[in-house]
Amino acid sequence: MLNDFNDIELVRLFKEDKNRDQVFTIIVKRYQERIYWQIRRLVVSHTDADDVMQNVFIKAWNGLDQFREDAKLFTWLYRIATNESLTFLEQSKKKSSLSFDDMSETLSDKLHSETDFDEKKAVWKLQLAIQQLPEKQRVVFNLRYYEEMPYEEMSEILETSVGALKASYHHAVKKIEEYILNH
Amino acid sequence: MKDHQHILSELSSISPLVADLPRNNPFEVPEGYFQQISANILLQIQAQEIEKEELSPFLQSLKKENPYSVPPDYLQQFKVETRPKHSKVVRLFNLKAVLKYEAAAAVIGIIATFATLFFSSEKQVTIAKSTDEVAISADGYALFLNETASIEENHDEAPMEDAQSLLVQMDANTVTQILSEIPENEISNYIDLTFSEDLNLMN
Repeated sequence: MLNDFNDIELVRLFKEDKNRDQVFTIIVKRYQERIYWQIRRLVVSHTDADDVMQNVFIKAWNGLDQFREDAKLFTWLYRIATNESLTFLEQSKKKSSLSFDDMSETLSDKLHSETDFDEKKAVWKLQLAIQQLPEKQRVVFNLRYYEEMPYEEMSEILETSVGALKASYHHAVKKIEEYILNH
Repeated sequence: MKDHQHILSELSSISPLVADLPRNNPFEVPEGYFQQISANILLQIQAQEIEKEELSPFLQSLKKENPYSVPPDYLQQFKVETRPKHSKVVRLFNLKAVLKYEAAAAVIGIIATFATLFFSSEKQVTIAKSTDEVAISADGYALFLNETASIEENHDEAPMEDAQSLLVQMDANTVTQILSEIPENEISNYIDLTFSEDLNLMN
């Protein structure tokens, strides 16, 4: 029965402290796959994606009482997921530079360790090209290319103007094209 | 569907090569992961709640309600003031400043006048000195002194000579003739007048 409730109704029930666990489980199940893939494409490895995923939903649990109902729940969760992924990458970068391990655990290296990885296959070549992009362009490209998200919704998640997002996407596609032509 | 077509045509216009790439997901996820994840997350949340309760049961029992209140419609009507409410008034005509400048101008004027007078007199003297030094030689100066001395001598002697010559030329007959031509009443008037003047002088 709770499965039929929309996001606003679920958030209201959560705030009223009624069946919190059940309500929250429904929210997680509703968006877990989309959130997971958004995180996975940014951090690449499953183990890292799982860690970030858990952090995202724990933060959502802690912040849902203050969630304003005029915003979309999905947009809000996406924003938390993007910020958590970028924070994770930033921390990894700092750790690798502190431990002097020569950035061996870069995103490209992580791609190479994927079970089905084949550099000759176009689908993996595209993944390698995406990992060469700057972080912001990578986020914009993934949301537009894989999630097919409208720029207006993306603008709410990333708090960036539509014009700037269009420019970022354009630059990202051109860089990917260049990478594929040269490799 | 409409969005999908729009996004695809946008991508084709930027790069047909990237638009033609396969879109399938190459990543793998452990089996049953998505069936388990919600339960795992809930377990973590419960562990976190227990930890909080053990740390401070009192704080955990409190509801996370905001105790502060705002005036009605405050947030709806909130505007950022870009200009200060009372801007500083700047007078176009400041009497004090004008008086200050006038006093300064007067002092400068006085100093300038005195300086001009002082330096102009100094200049004249120096020019005169320099002209003497440059233009007049020693011989010329001696000649100048001789000439001036003779002029001065002539000048002192001349009136006396003239008076004496006049006296010599006028004998007694001439004087009597001149006097006879003057009417008697004019002579008496003249005597009266000179006499009264002499009296005044004596008094």
